[in-house]
Parts: sequence; C-alpha cells; structure tokens
Amino acid sequence: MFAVPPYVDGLVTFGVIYVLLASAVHLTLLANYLMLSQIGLMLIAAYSSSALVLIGVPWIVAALAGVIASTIAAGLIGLLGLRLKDFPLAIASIAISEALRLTIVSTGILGGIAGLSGIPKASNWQVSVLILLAMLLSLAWFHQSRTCREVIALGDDEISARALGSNPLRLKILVSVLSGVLCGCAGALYASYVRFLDPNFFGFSTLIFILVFVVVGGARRMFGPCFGVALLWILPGYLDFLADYRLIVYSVIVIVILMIEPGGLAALAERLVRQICGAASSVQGTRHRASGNKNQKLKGGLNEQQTTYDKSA
Amino acid sequence: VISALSSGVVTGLCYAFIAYGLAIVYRSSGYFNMAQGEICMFCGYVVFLVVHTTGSLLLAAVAAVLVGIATSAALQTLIIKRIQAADHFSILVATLAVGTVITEAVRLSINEGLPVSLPADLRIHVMNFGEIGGIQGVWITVMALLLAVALDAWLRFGRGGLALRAVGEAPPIAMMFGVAVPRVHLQAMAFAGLTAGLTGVILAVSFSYLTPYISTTLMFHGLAIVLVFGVTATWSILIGGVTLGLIEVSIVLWGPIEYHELITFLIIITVLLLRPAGVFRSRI
Repeated sequence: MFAVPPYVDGLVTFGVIYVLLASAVHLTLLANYLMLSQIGLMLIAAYSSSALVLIGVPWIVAALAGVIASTIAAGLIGLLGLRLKDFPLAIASIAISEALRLTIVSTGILGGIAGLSGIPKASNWQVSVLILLAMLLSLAWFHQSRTCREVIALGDDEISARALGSNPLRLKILVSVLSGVLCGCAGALYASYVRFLDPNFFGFSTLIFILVFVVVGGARRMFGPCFGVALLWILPGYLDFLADYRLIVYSVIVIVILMIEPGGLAALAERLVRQICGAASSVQGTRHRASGNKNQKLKGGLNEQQTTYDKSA
Repeated sequence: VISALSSGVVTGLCYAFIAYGLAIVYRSSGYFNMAQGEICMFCGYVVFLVVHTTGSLLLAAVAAVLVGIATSAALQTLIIKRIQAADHFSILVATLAVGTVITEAVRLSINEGLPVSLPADLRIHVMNFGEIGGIQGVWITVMALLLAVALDAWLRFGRGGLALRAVGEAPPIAMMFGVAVPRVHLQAMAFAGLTAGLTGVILAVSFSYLTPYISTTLMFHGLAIVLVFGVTATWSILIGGVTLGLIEVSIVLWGPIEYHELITFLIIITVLLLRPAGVFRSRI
C-alpha cells in the first residue's frame, strides 16, 4: 500500500538515522557538554542487537537490548564529566568511540574488519518514520519540561545554574543517557536496515557528518537537526550531476550558511518568520495608526464644529 | 632499533608542528582550526609539485611555507573573521568544511588522488621504519628545536606574544590597551600557516607517500598532543609530539602491531582521565 522505490526507502531511513544521531548531539550541546561518543554508542547498539538477532533472539527484543546497552554505556561515559570538560572531554569521548571501533577491527571479534553480515532485514521507511515521530514527540515534551530549562541554564552558565540549585553532574549524566537512547535507536535501526555492519562506518568521518548536520541546522534548537538533515542529506542526492565536485559544493554550502546565519537554518527560519510576522504586525500597526488618525481628525472636526457652535451661541 | 626510534622522533616532530599551529590559534582565539591538518597536507603536495617541476627541495620548502601562510591568512580573512562572533562550534564546523574543500581539491587535481612521493634520494624512510638516511633527519630535528625556542621566547618576551596572550585571555581588555585584536588573530593564523608549511616539508621528505586523506590522522594526533600536554609551554608540545611518535614506534617494534592504534587511543584516554589539566598541568 505504501510501497516506495528503494532509493526513497534508503533516503528516508538514513535520514531518520542521521536525525536521531544529530538530536543526540544536540541534547549534549544544550548542556554545553561536549560528549561526542555518539558514533561509539551507535556501534554498541548496532553490534549488540545484531549479535542477538544472529543467535535467534527476535528483532524487537534484540533492538531493545541494543538500546539498553547503548544507554548504560552512555551513562558510564557521562561520568567523564566528573573529571573532564570542554575540548579535553570532546577528545576523550571521541577517543572512546575510536577505541571501540578499533577493538572490533584489531581483535577480529564480531566479524572484525571484514564486517558482520547475514543480519536479517527488519526495518524500512515506515518503521523509521514511526521512530522519528516518537522521538520528536518525546523531545518536544522534554523541551517543555523544567529539567530542559535547567539543562539550558547549565549550558549557558554552569556556576549560575549551580547557584540556583541545579546539580550539574546529574544533568550531564541525564543528557548523556538520553543521547544514548537516541544513539541506541539509530544503531538498532541501522543494523536491521543495512544488514551488514562495516566497522569503518562508525569512524570519525561519520561523526563529522553528524556535527555538520547539527551546526548547520541549529545546534541549540529542537528542530535544528531535522533542518540540517533535510538540507544536507537530501541535497547531495540532487547534486549528482556535479559528480566529483559534489563534496566541494556541499562544503561551500555549509560555509555560506554559517556565514549568513551562524545559528544555523533553524535560526534563519526563525528570523524569517519573525520578519514576516513583524512586517504583518507593522502593516496592522499602520492600519491602526491610520484609523486612529482618522478618528482623531473626526474628533477634531467635531470639536471644531462644537467650538463654532458654542461661539455662534 | 636506533634507526626506528629516530624515525619515531621525526614522526613525533611532525605531530608537534601540527600541534604548534593548533595551539597558537587556540591561545589567541579560543577555537581549534580543524583545517590545519589539510593545510599541512596541501603544503606537502606543494613540496612534491615544486620538486617535480624544479628539482630543488629548498625552493619547494620556501614555496610550501609561503603557501601555508597565504592559505591560513585567507581562511582567517575570508571565512573565520566573518563568523568570529558565533559560537566556537560553528567555527569548528566551518573549518572542517574548508578542510574538506582542500582535500577534495587536492584529490581531484593532483595525480587523480593516488599516492605521490618524492624521489627516493630526497626522502628519509620514516614510515617504513627503515634507516634514517641523509641530512634531512638532522635538519628536521634542528628546525623543530629552533622553532620551539623561538616560539617560546616570542610568547614570553615579545610584544607580539604578549598581545597574543592578552587577546586570548580577555579580548575587550586587550582592545582597551590598544591591541588590534583582528590583526593579532590574523598573525596567529599566519603563524599556524608557517608551521603548516614546515609540517608539509617534513611530511614530503619523511613519509613514504602522501595521500589527500593523511590529514585526519595527523589532526587527531595534533589535537591529542595539545590536550594532553597543554598549550601554554611550547617545549611541552615538543616533548608531547616526540613522546607520541616514540610510543607508536615502540608499539610497532615490541608490541602487537595490529593493536598500535588502539593502544595509542587508550593511552590518550587514560592520560586525560588521570591528569585532566594535561601532563604538565598547563590548563588550556
């Protein structure tokens, strides 16, 4: 009934995977907590769920187990916040991701460098869209919560947030865990869609892609990752005619967007909406002023008539 | 063993040069220029092109340094300056994008992206861990030491170094004291370009071959040195680079070779966890 060409199926599924990962990065950036192990967490979920599926566990159970494994790992990595922050934290967390990948490559477990194959297909674009909707609803609910405001306050100024009674470590672990849940969903979805796990996919270059999606979309806005993925994931498909020059054009677009609006596409959209609303309200204001002047003139005229009448009387 | 360890020293110096470039920009502006690795790689290709055209390594080295300075200055003037007011994450992504443009441009325009190398008589076989031949190894070591001493002296005693530190600490106050902040940022980037040019020379003469994708590994090592060994003292970067080079070579020599990258990452994580302020307690 909802059959789509394989190209669209892949485009949507990968789009959702990237939105999940970019949202995971967005959550940690809200707290200004540079925990960038998202690709490593995705690897944990993808490999653990696939290993379970391959020994005969139903996909849904294996996927849940993958998400739980990724969440626990995220909580543990979140504890890095006890010792590290800013760029040292970013490098340590990226190094953890790389160490996880290199463990598979070097030891040869779970297929090693040759990759893990034979995973049965269990997801498609409909499953992806359902996961996306669930994620967006949960994220919207989180953004309305008091905890999210605490997280944002922590990201703006940790000392002030602490003075207002927030517990920075608790919030950092919380965003890490939430980030782990999203990465877990992305990993389980990826493994069951691609059906083959190549450890090189979980490398530094994929993380860079995700960071670009987040920053171009808008790092501190809820829909930023969606905007980023919508433009930068779908756009390259239409840049095929550029052949080898595609990546150059793509990078130039990223630079131009950041030069026009460093807050990303979401901030640009907000600014445009504000301008349009501002223009509309100013038109309305002009009308109000015009009608106000008209009334004043009318009143003035009546007053003049009254004065003339009084004088004549 | 001695020749392999010498190779480790030269590789480590290469990492240290990248780290110098990253550190100087970080100290003046508070962000990391993620295109530094790509600029180094580009300078390495410039050395290769000039040597193949003229046959002179000295001319190639001068050209690489000039190209490094010009590229970094252009990056600062045309792009970073315009998004300087944004958060550092945006600058990071913008420089990553610039790095991609450089990598792709090199891949498409030079030797169809296939590995290139200098003639064998101009190379020292560092990455093969063979004998460290010729005078180049000595030159590289002397150059690194001189640069470390000069940079340290400039940062400590020079007016430019003082201005750079002041801008890094508190730009508004530096501005109040008459320091031209944009000019200092440009100077720091130009200096990073100079180190990129020198790194390019080391890459060309010491690595067996150059590929457009060599920059990612170089960048990660450079960042690790800056974070683990700190940015406040230039000698600490030098020690850091050489230590990392020697650790890698030691793992290749005596450890399980297939684990050498993994062990390097584990060492970085452990050091960061044990000494978050850096090995020499120099906070960044």
